[in-house]
Amino acid sequence: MISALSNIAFLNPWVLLGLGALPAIWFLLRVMPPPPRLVNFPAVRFLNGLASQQKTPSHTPWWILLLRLLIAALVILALSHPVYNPAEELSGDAPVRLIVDNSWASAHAWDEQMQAAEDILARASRAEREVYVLTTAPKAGEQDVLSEGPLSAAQAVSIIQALETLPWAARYDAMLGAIEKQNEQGVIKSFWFGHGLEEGRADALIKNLQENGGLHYFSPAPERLPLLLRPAKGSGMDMAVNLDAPAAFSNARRITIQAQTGAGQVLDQQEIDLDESSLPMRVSFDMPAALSKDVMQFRIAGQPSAGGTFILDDNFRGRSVGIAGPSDDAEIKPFIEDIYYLKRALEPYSEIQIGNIADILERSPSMIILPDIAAMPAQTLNALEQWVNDGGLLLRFAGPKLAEQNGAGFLTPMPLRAGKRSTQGSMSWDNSPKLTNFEKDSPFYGIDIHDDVTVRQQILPQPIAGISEQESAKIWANLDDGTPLITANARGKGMLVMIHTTASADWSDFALSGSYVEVLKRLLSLSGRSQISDIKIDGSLNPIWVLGGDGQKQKPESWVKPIAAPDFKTTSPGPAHPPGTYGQSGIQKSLNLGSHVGTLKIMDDMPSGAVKKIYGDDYEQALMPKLLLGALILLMFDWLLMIVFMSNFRLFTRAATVFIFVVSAAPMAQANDDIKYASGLYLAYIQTGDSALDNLSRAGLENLSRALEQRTSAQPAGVAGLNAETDQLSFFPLIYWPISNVQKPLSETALKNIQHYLDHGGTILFDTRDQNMNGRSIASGANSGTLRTTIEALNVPPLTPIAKDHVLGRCFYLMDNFPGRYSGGTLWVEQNNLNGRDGVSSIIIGSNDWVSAWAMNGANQSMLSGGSRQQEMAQRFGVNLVMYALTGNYKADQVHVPHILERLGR
Amino acid sequence: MNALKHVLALRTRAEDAAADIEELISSAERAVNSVLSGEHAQRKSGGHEKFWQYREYMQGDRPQDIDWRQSAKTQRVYARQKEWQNTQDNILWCSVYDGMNFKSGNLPPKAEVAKTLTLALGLLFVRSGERAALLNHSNAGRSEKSLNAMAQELCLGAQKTSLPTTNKDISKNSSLVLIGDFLDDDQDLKRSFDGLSRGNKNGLVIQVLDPAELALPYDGRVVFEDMNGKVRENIQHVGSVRDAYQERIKSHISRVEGLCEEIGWHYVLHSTDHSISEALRTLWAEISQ
Repeated sequence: MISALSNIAFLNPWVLLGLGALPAIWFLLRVMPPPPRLVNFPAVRFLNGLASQQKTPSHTPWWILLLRLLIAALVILALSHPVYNPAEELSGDAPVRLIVDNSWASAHAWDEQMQAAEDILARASRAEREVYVLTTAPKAGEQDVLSEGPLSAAQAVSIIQALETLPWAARYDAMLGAIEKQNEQGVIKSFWFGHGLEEGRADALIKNLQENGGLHYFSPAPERLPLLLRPAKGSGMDMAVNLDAPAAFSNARRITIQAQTGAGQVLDQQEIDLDESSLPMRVSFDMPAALSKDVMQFRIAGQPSAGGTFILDDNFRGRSVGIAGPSDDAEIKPFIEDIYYLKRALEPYSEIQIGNIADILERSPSMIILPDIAAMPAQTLNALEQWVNDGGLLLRFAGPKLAEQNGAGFLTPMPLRAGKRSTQGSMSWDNSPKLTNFEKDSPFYGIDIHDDVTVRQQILPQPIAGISEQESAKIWANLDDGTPLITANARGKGMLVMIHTTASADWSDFALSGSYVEVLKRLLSLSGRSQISDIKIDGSLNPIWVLGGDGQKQKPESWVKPIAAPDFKTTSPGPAHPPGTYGQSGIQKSLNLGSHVGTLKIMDDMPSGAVKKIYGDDYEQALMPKLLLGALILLMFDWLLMIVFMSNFRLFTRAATVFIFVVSAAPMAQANDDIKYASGLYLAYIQTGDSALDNLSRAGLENLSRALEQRTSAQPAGVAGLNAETDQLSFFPLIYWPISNVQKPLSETALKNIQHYLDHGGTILFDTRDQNMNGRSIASGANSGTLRTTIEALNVPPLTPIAKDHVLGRCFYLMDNFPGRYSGGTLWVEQNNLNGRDGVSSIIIGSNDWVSAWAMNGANQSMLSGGSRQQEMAQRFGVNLVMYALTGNYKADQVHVPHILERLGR
Repeated sequence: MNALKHVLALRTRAEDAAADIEELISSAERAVNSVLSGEHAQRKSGGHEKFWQYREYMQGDRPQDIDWRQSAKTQRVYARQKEWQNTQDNILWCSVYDGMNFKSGNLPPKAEVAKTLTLALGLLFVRSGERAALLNHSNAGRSEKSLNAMAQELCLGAQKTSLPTTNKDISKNSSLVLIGDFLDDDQDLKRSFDGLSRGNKNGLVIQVLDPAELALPYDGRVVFEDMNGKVRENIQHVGSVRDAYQERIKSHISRVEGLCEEIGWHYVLHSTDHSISEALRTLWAEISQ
């Protein structure tokens, strides 16, 4: 306690003299009791002599005095401007230099850096020092770091506050230049608010700073050191990323890494305990292929930073594939058509588009498959060839149509022989050839081959005449009789691949084997890449989107420059190229910090004399606002006390008791009700505030639930009266809402509550109870106006008079009209097909005053115009209504049962 | 110029007063209307023009008293008999002094209630064929005109006394109605009542009090002052003396009541939070007995 007190310093200590005035205030308050009330009173004669009997002291109670003195003392203390943990004043009188680490690694400790910097600035401001500001990372789009000074502390504050983390590395060489320039002004005391990492060699820099006025280096606590996601080594289709951290990172910290879509939706996450000894740690994600194609980036959860974000590029992601054939909508005959097999094999790993070639080309997929296509318009052919030349991968399959073409093939890796070779003809006596294992230089090397894959028919390539062509053409798979099954050839920057049999099971078993899928997957990973053959990308890759220092996606601004494609691999993220996705048509490349940042090294060797500190809680804290707040609260309390004394005390205590009771009991009651309502089927009505009507509603619904119990399997647990504003509506499948003209307009919260209820599957029956809706318009009765104002602010779908065969009239009893106390009014339901709502209209509006018919006791019975028959019909409507709300389209389907049966019979 | 100003001021005051009179009369009328629907009848035959009963024609009746229509219905001959009427002098007195101007909350001042009661009773007397006059004013009359005079007197001229005194003889037939708060001390009250009654047992005392005077509903530190600011009581904590005060005021009221009983007068306590017409109905019933 005492040490805490000794940590408080007063910036305006002379104001404390005011505390000496407290006794005087005490005296003044004591001698000035509150003025009495003056009442002119004719019967004053009878009060004579009574005054001496009472003994209450005439001055203010001591505890009120104490309270007021406390207020005064607090105000005086606040004015003396106390600070907790006052920072020691800056020694010497040299100007101050603030160096702020704002490279990618600072995202983790940025708040601490800022706080420490503002703390030092506050001290510099008190000492009226000049301030220099320097950052470590170069400014966006420039090569130079930010260097300002000499400034006043106030100017420096605004500069410091405008700083932000930048998603690239620091440039110590640029800093050195700036420091030397600043040093020309004389000796400067330096404070470096670091993120804890040494990015490159900082020796010279630190030495310079230390020799020129001394250096204080602040670094975050070990658990706030930056983390980095690096690319994982491995095959392209594996979902993995490496997590790297500086070696001093405290062990056994649990880090969560998320696999996200481009929009930030988390698809999977892995928790990993950091282990110092095995850095970097590989984090692999075992996800269904269908999901993994949507993964766009990995992130360290809870630590948004550019280093903690790893963007995937084409190598990882599923690619789009175009298959030439009839359009997407056409029915594909299972097990017969080529497209069926291709689609089944590729669907989990890529986006598939089926259509004519011209359409497919417009979408510029990574790979185009031509299953047994032998001819196409010349224009399309040219476009396709151009696409291949530009880097596309064209996969062709043989087939009967191609065999008809008699060798005049186009866009094939090798020229084709005319006709097909059948190994099962009447003239052949060999067994059908089988697939042999893939050669080492084949991209399919490693794929298991089943013994029983035989090829019955194929189209053979011609032996190649020219040597140059032979060099470029490759055979990727052979049959055991030596004939090629898969051939490939580079064409322009792209690639032609041909599988010399059908994509279906017509000519071979290949399409039925697992190898088929694997081969297609490998081909998919080859497409759009330049690694396999010598496909080169020219031109430049333009920024598509980039990361900010906080790891958030941004639109690239003008200072983000395109990267020349050949240099992409060697380009590291920098002020002109922040990390992000760069690309041109058909190709997207990601630029990640993790691929380029060197070993994470702690900034630890400081020359003697330099002070190293860890960000902590030893910042000074101004206490004035807190003291003033305390004084204000006490003042309010005093004021409340005065009100209590002035007014009738007994009244107040009673009101206070009631208030406290209500406040404490209400939430409990609410929670209990919620549990009750959630655990059973309750029919509900909205309380209108008209107690007679509310009682009627309750009685009516109670009778209705009795009827439901007797006649149906629905077992309502009770009836609930609801307040649209405060009650949770979502427990009730159906809410009955009698419209009354005493009802107040709904508040904003009530409207939101109701809208939420309607949007999430609730049904409300509005009953205007005035039998005035025979016409086309809803609003003609007295209560309809109220209804209209009630609904106006709700997002209500278009309504329509109920159709003859609506489910509401069919779901339990067969009914054509829906009488209540009145009969004949029109019932309005939603117009739309209600696909999303299980076929149940969210709003039903009628005017027949059903609840009066349901209520059915004595007085109300006589109100019925149609007698007991009508009453029965009203009950039936109630049963239908509840059934409708509960069962939805199940009952709607029942309406169609005859048709369904008829169809099944056929 | 000054004179003109003076005249103008007087004129305004007179107009205000006239408005007050109108209001007083109308409020009295309102109160009276609800009472007169129940008749203050004398229930004996007399010379009044109001019909009382049919009676068989007897020797000595004037022929013009025969009701031919009624007689034609039967064999007998009926004569119309009219109500007996006895004009009586009713002398009213309303207390007018500063203390009567007291009111609490939204209630009307005691004076207003007292004046309304006075005038309403006057109206009732006149309407039922009796004569009404204010104490110490000779012009007891039965006409609207005399009522207007009474109202004027009540609003403008009345001398400020808390207790009624007179130097005239009051006839034994006339009845006295005294309306005021009667908060004076017992001796003064006794002297005043004795001076008025002199054996006249036809008296009614209506004590008009504000509920605040009965209950003392104040709290905390209050300085009580009479209406002239002459007497002061500084009470530090009203709650602590409330019971004692209520005790005292109750005993005072019962003493006033006892005083009336001694002389044979009626006594009614009216609290200003009760409706005037209600009070008037009970009063009228009391008087009509």
